[in-house]
Amino acid sequence: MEPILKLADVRKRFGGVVTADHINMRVFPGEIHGLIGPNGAGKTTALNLISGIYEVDGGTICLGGKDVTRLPAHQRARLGVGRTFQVPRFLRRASIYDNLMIGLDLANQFGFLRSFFGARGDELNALLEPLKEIAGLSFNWEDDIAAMPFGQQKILEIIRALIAKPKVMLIDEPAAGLNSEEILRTMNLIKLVSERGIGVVVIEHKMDLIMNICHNITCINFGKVIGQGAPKEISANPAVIEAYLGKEDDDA
Amino acid sequence: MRRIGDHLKKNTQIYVFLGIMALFTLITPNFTTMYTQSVVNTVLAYFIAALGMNIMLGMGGQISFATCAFMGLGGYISADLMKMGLPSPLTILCGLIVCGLFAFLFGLLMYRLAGYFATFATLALAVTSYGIYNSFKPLTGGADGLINIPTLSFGPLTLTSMYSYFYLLALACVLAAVFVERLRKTSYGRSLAAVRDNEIAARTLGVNVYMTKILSFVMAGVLAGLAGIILAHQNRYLSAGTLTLDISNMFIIIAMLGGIRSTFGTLIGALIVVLLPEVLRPIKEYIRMVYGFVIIILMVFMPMGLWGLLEMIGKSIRSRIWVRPEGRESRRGANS
Ligand SMILES: Nc1ncnc2c1ncn2[C@@H]1O[C@H](COP(=O)(O)OP(=O)(O)OP(=O)(O)O)[C@@H](O)[C@H]1O
Ligand SMILES: [Mg+2]
Repeated sequence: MEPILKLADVRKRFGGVVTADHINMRVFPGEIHGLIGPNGAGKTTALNLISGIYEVDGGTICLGGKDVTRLPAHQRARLGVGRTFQVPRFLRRASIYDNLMIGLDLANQFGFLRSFFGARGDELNALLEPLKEIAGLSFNWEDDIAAMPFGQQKILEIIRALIAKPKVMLIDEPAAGLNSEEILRTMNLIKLVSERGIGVVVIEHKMDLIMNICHNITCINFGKVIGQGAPKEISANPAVIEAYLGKEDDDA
Repeated sequence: MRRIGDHLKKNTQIYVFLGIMALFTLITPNFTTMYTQSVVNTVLAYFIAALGMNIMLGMGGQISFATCAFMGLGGYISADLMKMGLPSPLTILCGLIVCGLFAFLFGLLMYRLAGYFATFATLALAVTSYGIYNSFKPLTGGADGLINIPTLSFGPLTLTSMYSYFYLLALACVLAAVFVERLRKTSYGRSLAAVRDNEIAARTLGVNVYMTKILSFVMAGVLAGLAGIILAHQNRYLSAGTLTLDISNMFIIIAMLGGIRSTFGTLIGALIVVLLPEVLRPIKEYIRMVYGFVIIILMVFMPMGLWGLLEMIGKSIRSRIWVRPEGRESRRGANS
């Protein structure tokens, strides 16, 4: 099988700070790939490079065999790179309905004229139907997004990304700030995303969560990959333990 | 039946608007003097131009001070072409196309600039265009203004009075308002909202931020052009003195007063802004100061404008009258 996402030798630095140091990484369709590392290791930067928010200094990023390294973010999104953010990014002054519809717009990709006769709420409802149970969301369409509890916002952001029918989904710290029930729902949701054949890259600090749902894990420190493999290999990798897992034990 | 009900509920604003316009159209010409009629016409023309601000500023969060430039561009082109003997429909079309094209080309450059610098570019355009309109005698009449502009005529139909222009304006208003109201619910409308609220989210959701901004500038330019064209032919006169930065500011105020989510509110905004100087004639010299305060107060206390305020009051009254049994969820909630 071909990887759906491939990073080869990806490099990025901000002034003197190297945040991506020859990163190599492959994600296959349906794979849940964990991205771990200490604070400031360069995890979010990696997602920004993949989604095109930052441009790489060097190396290549391929999406399903197509080189997207030089494409702007919105074109990568249209080719199937979906993502969420450490702190959810919504249209703050728009309704929940519009915030989800914009995901559907990305899936449909209508032109300007066509959009006057394009997607309606029914289509969105049909897409939401199988997700409601898992996500445990409750809201009114017309409510402002800002009125929604934080945990629900984080879940809703994953749903918005899913509605856009991506090939790869990048999820940044989905469990941060969530209660245990919401974390459970989020994990089930991520599993559902991968069952749909979407390659998932998920950043998370909660180790039990990562070990539990990931098929493969990449651990980075100072922008460098220091360990890569199945969860078992990672938890036995001395470099990873020293840089990250061990440190967490000290904290506790 | 339920479908019709749903439809009405979803499009309340537009039907209220259409109703009021219809009433307006039936009543006004029979009861007004020439003067009142000209004030009413001004309200409608300003409403059209302000809808452009509603798109750019309200939906897209982009400020433009260049409305005056496009009112002039459209007005002068249509007027000059008609003086050369071209028929009205063609001159109007030419005026609108040139406005759109120029906005597109200017937008291509302008939105290469980062953030506030794009706004400054519109300011520069407003000032430069005034300078040109005020001095380029052959096409604009220079400081004396362009006189003897022919009145519009469509085939056998010649618009001869303020009243006939009222009907043309009413028609243009309805078309423009329906367009804008529809635009709100299209993917393009949502792209604009995304650009306004979160550019990074917009980019990762496939929104071409650059083109979205340019297109909003084009639409604002065409709407301003339309208002400028009709006013120029109605007044039979167009002077650079009416195309200053002041008038651009006024459209920003109208859009902000009306509220960013509201087409109907924009009409209220236009009404207030046009009538206010009539009422405030005694303190005419201070009108700019009043505008300045109004902008500040609006930005701080009523970012959603008058319509937003009404909506909020309406919501709180409704929630007090009808207690929903299942808490915060309603019939249309995601779990129902
Ligand atoms: N736009 C930027 N400009 C300058 N430095 C940046 C920028 N973005 C990230 N950095 C730096 O890159 C380093 C990695 O940041 P990044 O956000 O990728 O870390 P992270 O692994 O996601 O950490 P965390 O777990 O805290 O979210 C940090 O030192 C940060 O200061
Ligand atoms: Mg991070």
